[in-house]
Amino acid sequence: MHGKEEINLRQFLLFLFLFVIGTSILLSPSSLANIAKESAWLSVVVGMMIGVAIILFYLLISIWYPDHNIVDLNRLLFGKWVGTIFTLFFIVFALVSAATVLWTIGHFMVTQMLHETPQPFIHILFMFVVIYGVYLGIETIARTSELLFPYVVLLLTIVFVFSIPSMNLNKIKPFFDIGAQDIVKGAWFDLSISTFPLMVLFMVYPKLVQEKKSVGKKVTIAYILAMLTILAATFITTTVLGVEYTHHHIYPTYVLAKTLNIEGLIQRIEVIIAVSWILTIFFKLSLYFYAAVTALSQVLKVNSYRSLTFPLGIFVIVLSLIVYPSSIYASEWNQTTWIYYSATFGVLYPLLIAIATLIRKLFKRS
Amino acid sequence: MWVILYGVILSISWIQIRALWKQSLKRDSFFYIFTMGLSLTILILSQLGLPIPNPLDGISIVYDPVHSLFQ
Amino acid sequence: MKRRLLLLSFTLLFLLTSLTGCWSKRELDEIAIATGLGLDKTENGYKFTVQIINPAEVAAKTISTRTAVTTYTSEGRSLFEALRGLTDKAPRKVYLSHIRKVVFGEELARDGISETLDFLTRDHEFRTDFHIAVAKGMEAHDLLTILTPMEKIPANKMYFSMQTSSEYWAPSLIIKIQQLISTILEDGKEPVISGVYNVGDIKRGSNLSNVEDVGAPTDVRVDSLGVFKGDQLIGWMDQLQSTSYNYIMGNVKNTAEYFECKDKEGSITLEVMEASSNKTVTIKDGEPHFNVEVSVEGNIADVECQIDLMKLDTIKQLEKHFSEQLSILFNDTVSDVQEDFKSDVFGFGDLIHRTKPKYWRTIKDGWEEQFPEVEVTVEATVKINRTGTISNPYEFKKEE
Repeated sequence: MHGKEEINLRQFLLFLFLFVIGTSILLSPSSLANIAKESAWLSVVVGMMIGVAIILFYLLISIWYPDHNIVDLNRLLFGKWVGTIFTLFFIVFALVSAATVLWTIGHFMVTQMLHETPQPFIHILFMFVVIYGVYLGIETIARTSELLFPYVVLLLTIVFVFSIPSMNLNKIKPFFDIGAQDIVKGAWFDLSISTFPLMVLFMVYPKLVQEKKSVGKKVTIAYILAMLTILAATFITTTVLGVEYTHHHIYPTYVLAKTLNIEGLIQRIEVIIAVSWILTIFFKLSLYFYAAVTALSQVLKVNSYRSLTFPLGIFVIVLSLIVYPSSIYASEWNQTTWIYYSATFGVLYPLLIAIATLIRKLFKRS
Repeated sequence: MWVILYGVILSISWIQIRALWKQSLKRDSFFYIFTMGLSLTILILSQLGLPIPNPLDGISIVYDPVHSLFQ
Repeated sequence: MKRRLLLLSFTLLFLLTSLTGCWSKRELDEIAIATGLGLDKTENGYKFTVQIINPAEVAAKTISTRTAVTTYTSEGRSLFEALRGLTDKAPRKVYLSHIRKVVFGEELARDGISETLDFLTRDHEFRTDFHIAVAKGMEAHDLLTILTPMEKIPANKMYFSMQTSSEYWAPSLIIKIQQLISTILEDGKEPVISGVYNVGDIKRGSNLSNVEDVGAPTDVRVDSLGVFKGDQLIGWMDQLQSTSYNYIMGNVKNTAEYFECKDKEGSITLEVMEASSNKTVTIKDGEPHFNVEVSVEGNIADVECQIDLMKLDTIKQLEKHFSEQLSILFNDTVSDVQEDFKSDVFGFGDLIHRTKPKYWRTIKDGWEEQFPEVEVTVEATVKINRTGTISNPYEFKKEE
């Protein structure tokens, strides 16, 4: 029915950028301020350095297997049965991630803006857009990202630039006065939200990207730019709001925009943050969902993933309604389980692939 | 509101399943109905206020030893 | 084709009903816009006073005998309960996003404000740009009932008074909620909140006749600072102390500074154009020693004694004289605060924390007891840039 889908490298890089800043731009500063205190920004820097290594590793795998996505790869390396089980785990991971992201946006809207709207309806409305987007195909989403990316950047820049006058470096002094353990912990938390899930992107998309020229350099630059955005968000929230105040808020970046007031001219621009966040999270959610749908349809050997899009979309909505009973559960789960869960897929699993590949090569030779 | 929602979901499903049948994609329509049925069942059950096991709790149990190891 | 049409109409219908944004819509005539909020303590909870705009009056072109604002008061065991209790008194639901001013009653402030701060940040309707003040020596409720001239909405009047005076008058200071909470939460720093008080008769002030008078006999003043320890008000700084506080904290932007002439006859007033402060700490024998340098730049604005301003020497002398006077004032203030309030409003502990984290960890727990004893030196330097539009003062002949 539909031909082979293809996106170009630039679109892939935009995906990468939007995916990384997706949830973390609003959520990370709070947890980082809690874990690493005054050195929250340092955690992001450390995270960025580790992150570059991690995504280059993902890239390496996708260069080894340019024509395999995760389902093919699992079948090739681990055999039909074990491979399928691995794929199912991956699908669960993608679905759970999608559901939690959807829940987060619903929670954000309900706590900060639409106070009396029932949360389920925000989930439903948002997910219907995502379902429609995925149904139209990844190319459509990719073109949408090209269309909306400038707005995301512009809106964030507005908020960041106008925050500069109210920054106070004293609020994050003393520099470096925190144990290395806490910095790594903060970096890990940041990575678990922003970088480990990128595995989803690298395991599904390289098959779609045909342009292979100087990919490594471009991917690294896109990733660093995205992490710098998170760094800016963390740095600005902690210097403007102070460490304690940042970590007591669930969505500090939004609060930052709320506090902004430039001579009475520019004020009440918190909606800008909300809009840019909704845009980025739309892509994050779409990519998770697309990964889950395509992987599942490949496992089930259905004709086209489009036939599963709608029912699985409804499933994500249902899942998002039950995953987090409360916001307390959410932050608790993020800090006790998610960091390991995403690390399993973000670190352990690629390592497993690498090891399996090496063993396979050895066997081939002998 | 929920009634409208169910109406929308069912009518979209109806159109899509009919299209799949016309193309005689039996496998597709089977999984369509299966996934949709599963989702709707859980949705209805959760609306009736029945306790639905949360998949995150399961994941938490698996990762609990890892967490206590790092703590 | 038919299917497409059907799908399209379904989609349109769905979007039409779901994207209108009417879920919990509130039209302007259904909400009561609150501009000021007063919180007081009662025997078993809180008294919650809101000052609500009377929209017909604010927009009215013809003069009427109704007031531009109305206040409603309700009591409850918690603030949120009191807020919701308002619904049976006010005809509309109170909308809190346009709050300009939150005033704590003095009694509540002395009792501790942290519980109320929780509500003020937890509720989503509050923004963070309102000013916080304490009603000095009175209930917040009474303060909010005073009608003010010029600004029809009294909360706005307080807001703008504070806004302008914090820019042009040293003793006043704007405190916003985010600052306040950070200061209470962080170690080695205690907050101050500006005090608001009335002059004249309160009863008269709540009557429209108050603003019909040219002089407005009852009015609201904003020029003193309340010293807190933790979340409790423990005392008030007078105007001079408030001024020194703002100089030491580097909050002064522009103000007038009055000095007596050397021979005590007449005076010179300086218009301060720029002021900054730099705090440093040195550790001697395990004891912290603080050094504050306040540098003030200004123009001569008003001369009421006979001096020769055209000589460089005189200017130098004046600079020296002013510096000495300011230094004495600042040092007095610091030792007064140390003695009377024992509350580290200057953030000296915070300074140690930021610059000498290792040392801070050793003295952190005893800082509260140590603060009144620490040595602080404040040194002010005044620089005179210009003498205004005239050079020497006129030599008018005076009748002896």
